Amino acid sequence: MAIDDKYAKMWLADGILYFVYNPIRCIDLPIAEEVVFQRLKLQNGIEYPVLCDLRAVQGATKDARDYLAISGSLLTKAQAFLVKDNYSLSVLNMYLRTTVVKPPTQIFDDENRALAFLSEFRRVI
Amino acid sequence: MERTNEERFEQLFNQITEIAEGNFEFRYKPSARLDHIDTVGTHLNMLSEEIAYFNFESYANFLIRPAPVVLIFDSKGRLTNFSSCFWEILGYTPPPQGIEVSIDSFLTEYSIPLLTEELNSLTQELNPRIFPLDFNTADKRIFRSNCSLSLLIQEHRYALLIYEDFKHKNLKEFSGSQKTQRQSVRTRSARNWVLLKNLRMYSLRNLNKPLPSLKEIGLLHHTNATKIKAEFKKAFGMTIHQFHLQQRLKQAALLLQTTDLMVKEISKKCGFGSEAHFSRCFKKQYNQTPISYREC
Repeated sequence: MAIDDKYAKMWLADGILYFVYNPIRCIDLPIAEEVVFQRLKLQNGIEYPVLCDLRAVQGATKDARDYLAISGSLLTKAQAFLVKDNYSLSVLNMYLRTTVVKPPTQIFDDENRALAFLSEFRRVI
Repeated sequence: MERTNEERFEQLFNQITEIAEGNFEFRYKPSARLDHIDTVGTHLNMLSEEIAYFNFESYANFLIRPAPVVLIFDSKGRLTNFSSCFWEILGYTPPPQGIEVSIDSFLTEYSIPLLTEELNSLTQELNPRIFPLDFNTADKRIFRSNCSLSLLIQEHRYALLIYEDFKHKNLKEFSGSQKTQRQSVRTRSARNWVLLKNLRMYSLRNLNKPLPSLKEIGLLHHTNATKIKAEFKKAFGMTIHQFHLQQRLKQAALLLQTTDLMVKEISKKCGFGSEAHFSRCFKKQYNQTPISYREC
């Protein structure tokens, strides 16, 4: 099953949830709520490790960040954020340090390394 | 038109200045380059948002601006010299020459002992301690400012430096209640806000289980139950346990909408001991049972 939403594409493969944002200049609260809603529908109550590809996203509002920090990690075993440059890496680092993200979370610029990190959590599902 | 690096740096400097002055609304607009300058700009934006969200007024208040007002007084508290703007700002008429005026007459009841305490602990440190004082204005309001004390060379003379501009927004309605003043000074404590932020994060990180007692939370955060109860309610309008319950119910509502999980499973995931307890809390919050909420 896969969802190709206006804001993101998401699908399940090999016990991992792939979540790829479409090009977005700034994620606001309605966008955040919509993508979380779609993701939870796709998961249907099952926890997955999540590969979240943020390479097409430039930023997020404070409201959206707060919402994603709480509801965005609901039903996630672990999160691997995929970024493309130092800008995103640095901003995301600050986000993770100042919010309440709970599951094991790491940031990568390489998809294979991100998947290797997540595979550890796939086994315990 | 693309901004030059010089213009972008200028914007960063402006934003830093605005933050230092307590304006957290200023935002740097990142360019398409997403380079180091944009990285710093975005960090400053997030910093402003974090501060504004938690109303860290105290942080803003403790940032020192060039001293606009100086009061010189002797060991008996009599003003011997002062910046002329002091009277104007508080709305008083300057006293005629030769009339003795005590510094205490401008301070609130709460601030008088605070100043005395500061005088008693005054040292010759190069970096004087910053402390807040409340001044009574002529129109019965309070002007609050961060101040510091210096011992002058002339014997038994002190200089009180008042750091902030006297702005209208700094004037607070005079309550006349010493208790309220004491509470508002407490509210300004940056340490309290850090504690509150930690408590909020602790609560949000434990949405899958009930929170322990206030006493246990206090032990974890090196404080006491009374302080947690009072400060959390003051900041968020509810107790930490109410906040935690509200957040868990929000998550439960989202799971009811988006999954086919049984109510019992959802209640367990959201840290409720029993389905019956969860349903009672849910109905109280949303005026309907979990099942009817799901069907809507």
